[in-house]
Amino acid sequence: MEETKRKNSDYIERAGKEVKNRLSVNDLISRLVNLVDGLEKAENNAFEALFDAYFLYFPEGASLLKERDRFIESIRGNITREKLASFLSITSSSMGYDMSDADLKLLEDVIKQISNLKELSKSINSHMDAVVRTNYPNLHAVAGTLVAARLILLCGGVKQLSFMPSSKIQVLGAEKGLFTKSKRTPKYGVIYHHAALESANQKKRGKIARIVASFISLAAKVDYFSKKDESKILLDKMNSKIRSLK
Amino acid sequence: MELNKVMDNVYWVGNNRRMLVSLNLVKEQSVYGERLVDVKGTQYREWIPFRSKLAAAIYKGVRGIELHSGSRVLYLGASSGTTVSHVSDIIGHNGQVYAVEIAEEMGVHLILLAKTRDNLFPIIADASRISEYKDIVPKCDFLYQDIAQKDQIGIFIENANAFLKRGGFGAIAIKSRSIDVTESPYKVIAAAKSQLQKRFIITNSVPLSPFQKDHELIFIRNG
Repeated sequence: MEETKRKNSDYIERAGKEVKNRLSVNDLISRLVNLVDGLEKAENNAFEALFDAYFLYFPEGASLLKERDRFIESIRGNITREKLASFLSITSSSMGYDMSDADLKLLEDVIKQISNLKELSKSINSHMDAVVRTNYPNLHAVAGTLVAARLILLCGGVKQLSFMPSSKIQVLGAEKGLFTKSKRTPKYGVIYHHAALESANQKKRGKIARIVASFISLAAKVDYFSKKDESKILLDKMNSKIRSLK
Repeated sequence: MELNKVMDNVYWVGNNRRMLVSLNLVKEQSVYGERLVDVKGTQYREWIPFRSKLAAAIYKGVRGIELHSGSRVLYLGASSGTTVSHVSDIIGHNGQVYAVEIAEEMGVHLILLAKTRDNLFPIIADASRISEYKDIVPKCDFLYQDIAQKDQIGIFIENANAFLKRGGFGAIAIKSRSIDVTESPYKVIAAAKSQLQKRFIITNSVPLSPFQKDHELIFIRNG
């Protein structure tokens, strides 16, 4: 009995070491991406509910403020009907439900918390930027933080990414389109959010996606194997290739 | 309440709506949110067939599973330790269950569980690479595998060759969807059986249909 117990703790220690070895900065990055996504979702849901609540009180004003940022900006200091009406220069008479001061105070608190959520996701993003930049400088330069982080989340790490063909990197995140019975394979997955693609002409996006994917694969290889910062050369090469398309 | 024995430390409780329970090795511990039942001063844990394939097999009427108090078990694909905790209940303090899991995040739950149970030996390794844990696992009486891999039968046979005693028993949970999605489950399972038959004697085979979709639990004996 005694011996069994001792043995069991040895295995626990060994397995614990194995877990510690396997965890890396890739896991942190994946979790941060998930966290940002979760916050965004929460913010959207909360905003929708808040908008509906305010619509109940002052539908005339709320219907003019359908964009989120504008809604929060305008409503922040002007929660009451009179103030918002003068801010938007409309009449303050309304068919909405008359809320008490306490109700409005609550709504004001909600607005504050929602804008706090926004600040929080911003600070997470900037921290993620720093993490990716220090650990994977090449990938950060070529792909950008957001795309790099999402690629790491999807394939599990830079090691896996560096062993991947660039054609796979190109459609990573578009598995749904790739595996349905559609006529065409998708042109891009998460690299769609890359700066070079977002600003590009619709017709050239497929070609640019190919170039970007090939350079991401190259950058991942540099980051994983040599760990040198070659980001300038890579970035110049990629940009000149994209430019030569035109 | 009345207890009817199924196997060592596993019982049916109740007469009308029977419930499968196993003797709780660690008092007051609920591993995955299952109910704890006290009968005549002894504590039992509910064994939920929707969570555990082995429990589903017992609900489907399988008897004579060769897991006993004091058995030495190799469990491949332990995950967070749902079924492993019940296996650990069955074999008691004199048995040993070596639980192999590949994913480190699931493994953390397994390691935390092992800290409370002295018969549970967690191993974080890939079941398809025997060399990773060859020197720390002894020969076993029972080999259980629940991994959703395309080559799960090959992995099972390899592990059986390395770790299963002659005359030992085993069970393999086959998820037909992860072997071939396009093929019909019957064909996949028939192919798996014929592959297993070349190496083992199949003693029992049961589809887990209402509890798990397109799964089959096959019991074998190492001839």
